[in-house]
Amino acid sequence: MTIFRTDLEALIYVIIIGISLYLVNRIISYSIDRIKKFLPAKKNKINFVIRLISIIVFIYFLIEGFPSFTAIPAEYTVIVTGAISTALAFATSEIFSNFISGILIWIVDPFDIGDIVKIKDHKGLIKSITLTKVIIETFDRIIVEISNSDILASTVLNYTLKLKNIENYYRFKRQIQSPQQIGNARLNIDVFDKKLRKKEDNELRALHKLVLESEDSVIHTFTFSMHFPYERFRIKVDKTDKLCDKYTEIFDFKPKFHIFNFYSDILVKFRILTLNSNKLLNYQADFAIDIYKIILSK
Amino acid sequence: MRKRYYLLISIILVLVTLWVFYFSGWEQILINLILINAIIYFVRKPLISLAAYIFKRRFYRLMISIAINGVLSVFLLWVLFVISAELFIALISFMIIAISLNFRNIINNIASGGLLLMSEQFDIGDLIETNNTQGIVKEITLNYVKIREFDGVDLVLPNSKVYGSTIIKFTHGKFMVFKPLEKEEFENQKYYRRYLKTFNKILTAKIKITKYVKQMEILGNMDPENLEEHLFKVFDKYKPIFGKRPGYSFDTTRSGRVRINFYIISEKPHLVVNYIDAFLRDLVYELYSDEIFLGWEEYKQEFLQDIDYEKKEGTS
Repeated sequence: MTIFRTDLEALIYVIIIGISLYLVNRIISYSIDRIKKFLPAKKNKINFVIRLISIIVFIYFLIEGFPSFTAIPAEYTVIVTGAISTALAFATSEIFSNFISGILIWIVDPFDIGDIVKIKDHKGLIKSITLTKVIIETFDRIIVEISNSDILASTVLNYTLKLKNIENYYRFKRQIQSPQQIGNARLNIDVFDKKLRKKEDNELRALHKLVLESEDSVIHTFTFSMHFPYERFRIKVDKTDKLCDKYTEIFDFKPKFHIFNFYSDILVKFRILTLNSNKLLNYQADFAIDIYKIILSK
Repeated sequence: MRKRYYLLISIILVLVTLWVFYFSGWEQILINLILINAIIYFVRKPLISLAAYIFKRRFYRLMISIAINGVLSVFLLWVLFVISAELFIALISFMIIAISLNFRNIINNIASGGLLLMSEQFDIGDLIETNNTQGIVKEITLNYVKIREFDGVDLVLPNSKVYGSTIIKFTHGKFMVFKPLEKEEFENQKYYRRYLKTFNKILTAKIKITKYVKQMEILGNMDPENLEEHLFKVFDKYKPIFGKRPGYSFDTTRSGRVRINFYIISEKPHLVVNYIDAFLRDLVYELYSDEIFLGWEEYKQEFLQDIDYEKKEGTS
């Protein structure tokens, strides 16, 4: 059961159909261009759909039109169609890779919505997670969409701490404290020790109270580094310390800082803890500006 | 805009379903299946939003939406099977190849997880570097490895990434260098026993040593004669903390600076992570005390009279 009777007739008709489809496409796209009511994005969509439909129609006529196709034995058609479908599957497998990566990310579960993460040098807040992509709002207030297969291929740093058993203060403290706090890497070493420790403990207790009052036991940490010159470093440390005191109210907890490297200048890393990730997005830049002012002041 | 499309599709679907039900005269099973499909399509969206309303956790929401979509796709494929069995088979084989090509990711991940766990390349609590990040291994599961970085931030790596990449192990059980026993010590039975004990421990791999290498650059204005003296002051202070005295070696000089490798050795990796930054601070304060405390005394007297200071150096 073919549409045309002989091969020659089919060939002529297929050529005619192909040319006419092409012409119809041209005419439609030209006329759509002329209509000013449609938006460019819509025009593009309509053109795309029409082109797709005409290609399908053309392929249909090509396969069904020639009578000699039916004369081919069934075994051969099976082999050919099998090969073609395998090739197509290979070609289109990339489309499915995002879904599969989505499932893998769902199993591994490296982050949740609202976490602060760093993926492929994009630091920001996770806005949504779908089966194909993850949307991040960065600190520059830009939306970044990263496909799931890209996420799997890169390392994911999660700055958000998920706390367990927060009723107990000591367990809470163990989860919150950074290694530097445990190792006592503070920079103002000549300040009287016991007094300072008590002050730090009180700060932690206040934070513990805040966490107990809040609904979900999640704390966002964020780290960034700054280069300090060697000259008058101790004075700058003191000024930065006072600045951190000022930012305690904004971030819920006093930002901490420590040396983590030195070569031509001293590298100091700052660590901010906060309950509300939006505060980081809003105030981290201000904090960095204030530190910059201290570093380069005379 | 999207809502309008949704409405249009729904109207078309309703019309088609009504036509199929009353006028088509197709087989009963096909009519039933089309009806079921239409119903599931309409119920799908409200059900998913209801699930989102009831459950707060993403896990349950995702499960429910996957289940509903799965049911819908099963019925759609069934309709296809009733209409044309050949097309159904072709589509299914196509899908199987396309999806299974990607399933190698998941299978690869689980397989590398198994290999990681079996081969014991590293254990929980070891200090390693992989994929350009250094940290202590917190968790090894079938799917991922969790590493805690030096500033306490967690890093989750899929197993396939860890297994396939270079791993620098700062913690290991081998290559531990012991000072050989003196002859008098060897003759004393007490020492002999202790030596045997440690030897036994190493053989059964109970002792692991962590040797962390930190590269530093020191400015040219440092007097090379005094450098060692300054360094040893700090090293001696940290010997009781790390359990072993830190060491150092010169690497190279460039543009007036000298690069030094510091070796921090300890039996417990977390000690290295906790105290490395304090160690660095003491080094900086010791080496560059003139620059750092420049003008500090005057500043202190001017602004900071109310704070207790004591001339005390180092950690407590």
